[in-house]
Amino acid sequence: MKTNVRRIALKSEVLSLLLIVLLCIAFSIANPAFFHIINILDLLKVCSYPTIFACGVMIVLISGGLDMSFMWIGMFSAYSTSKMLSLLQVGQGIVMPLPVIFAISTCIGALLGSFNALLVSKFRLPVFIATLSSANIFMGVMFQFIGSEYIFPAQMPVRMIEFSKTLLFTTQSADGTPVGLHASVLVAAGVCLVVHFIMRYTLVGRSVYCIGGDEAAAERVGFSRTRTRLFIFMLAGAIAGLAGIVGVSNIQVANPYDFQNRELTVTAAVVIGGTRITGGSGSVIGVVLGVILTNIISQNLVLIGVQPEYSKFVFGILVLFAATVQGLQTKLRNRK
Amino acid sequence: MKKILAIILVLSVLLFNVAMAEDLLQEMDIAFLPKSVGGAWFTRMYEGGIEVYAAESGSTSFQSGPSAGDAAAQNRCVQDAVAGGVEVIAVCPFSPEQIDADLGKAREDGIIVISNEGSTLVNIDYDIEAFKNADFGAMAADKMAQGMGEEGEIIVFVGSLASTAHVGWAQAIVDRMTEAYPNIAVANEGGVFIETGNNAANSYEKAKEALKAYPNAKACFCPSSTDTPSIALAIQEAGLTNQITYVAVGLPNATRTYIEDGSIDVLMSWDPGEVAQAMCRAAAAVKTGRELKTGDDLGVFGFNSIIVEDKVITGTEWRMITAENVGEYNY
Repeated sequence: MKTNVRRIALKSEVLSLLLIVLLCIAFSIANPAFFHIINILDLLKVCSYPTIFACGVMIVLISGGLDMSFMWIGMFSAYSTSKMLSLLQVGQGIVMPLPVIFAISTCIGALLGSFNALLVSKFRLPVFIATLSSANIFMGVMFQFIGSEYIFPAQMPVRMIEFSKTLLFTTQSADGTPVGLHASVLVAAGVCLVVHFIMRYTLVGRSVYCIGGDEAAAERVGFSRTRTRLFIFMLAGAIAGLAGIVGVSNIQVANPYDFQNRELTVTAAVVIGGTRITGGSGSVIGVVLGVILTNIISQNLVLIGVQPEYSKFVFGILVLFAATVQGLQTKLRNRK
Repeated sequence: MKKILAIILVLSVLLFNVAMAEDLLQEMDIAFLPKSVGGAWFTRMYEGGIEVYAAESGSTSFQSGPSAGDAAAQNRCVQDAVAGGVEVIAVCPFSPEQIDADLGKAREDGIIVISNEGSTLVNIDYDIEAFKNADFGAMAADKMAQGMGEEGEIIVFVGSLASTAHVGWAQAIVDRMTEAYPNIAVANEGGVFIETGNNAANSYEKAKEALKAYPNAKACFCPSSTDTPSIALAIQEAGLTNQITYVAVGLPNATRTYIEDGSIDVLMSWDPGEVAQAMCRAAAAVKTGRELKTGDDLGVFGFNSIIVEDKVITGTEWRMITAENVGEYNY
């Protein structure tokens, strides 16, 4: 019985949840407005596309590598999709339905992901180096051949603008503003479910864990390294492509510089969520909690009265705290 | 005789004026170094300003800059331009303090340095400002006060706390409010400005947060053209379009939908292309050894009667764009 409690308490998901509860209590003491339903709905919306990105990062991390290219894959896919469809819309009056828009961006992402796979499998480059260079290549190609100017709301594909305004389970707030769960949260939930299923219940999903745990052993068991890597990077790329188009839709403007410098926030969320940085272990539930945890911190500093010039500092300290607690917990678990 | 003399005098003045205008079109090799490349603002400066000037004068030009605001990366761009041997550097510094030394090296090499939004720089020939920060901020404050019935709380955003112009305007708003509108106060404690990062996604999130943290706010100001549309979106989504008077800096094409639906009440704008042309024309004046004086006409809108103080050239006009007149502008 005692060991059972101990085992549950030491699960990283449980710990993340505890940290989230702790933060929520602390923040709502600092400002009761924190627990307002609108704040919670906003938080979910803001978490939506980082959560999708994080699922992809998790898959690559489980396989034993740190992906540095996912934000650029996301932006490349989303920006080129938006630009192409914006030109079609303005020039020819063609309005693409939303699923097609999402599918195009997802496919571009998968294609870019296969380039990563090529670098890692054929040229035997470490994932970190391969994706760091591919990120720069994607960025350069986008700026040189696709464009670098913003696409404004007036030129954006109308279905994307509509998507950004789609709320589910709407009610009206006191002043008549529609309040509801943003559609992007549903997309994120869908991605999480699919990835969870693939990683947990399919052979190819298990092979990702296997290759991350011990590559040589995985090959001896009969998993093809090349094919597994191709699967990993194409899936991660596709997820990044979808995350990108959701993120761009949410803010109604395609700004090719927008996702820059956000790689590490998402990666931090994935690691805080219990994905082992050396590979072989990690879960979607943990990742979701990790993203929520980091976003609760970063999205509420003004609300709890942290002065803007200290916000980065406070964010850093809180993330460090969360990561330390997770690290200690892993240590404890392994000692047992 | 007197008549002939008068005619000669008039003619010579006319000829001199024409000569002056032509003086300001010199063939030069211009490096444009914006804070970041690709954004609507700096793209307009380059394509609607530097390149227009280059076409008129037969000059050559290129632009180079970091893909996001980054002082160290911009310094490298200055070094590259110096190594490449350009004649003119037209620079919009991300952090004036950190770039000054490198601009000094450029000037030692005989390169003409013209800056924009860098009035604190030492190592420049001229700094071009579209207008006086205090006048601009005061006008923004007046528009906000007017919209909010001269009382209530305001939220002041800045793209970057390191930007002289952003902080200058923001401070001018606060000064004007203190002086003329005693019932208006800055919402956040200590009156610190909220940094939105010159990034659409980030500013959207920050604006959402600020609007919740200060639910009584009745007016907002945003000086960053990159962040203006996404803050408008946050206001719109919070259902505060009618409650909040949003005065912002930006480009009409980037914000048209939000101006039309009233999320942005007043867009304070000037054509960055015209500022960039004024930078080139000032560089041409330096090249020909002509000293610019207060009252001179650089031949572009906003700079028809400049104010020159030490190295700072200031224009005197900007545009106030609202739902009524947004249709007249296309930049």
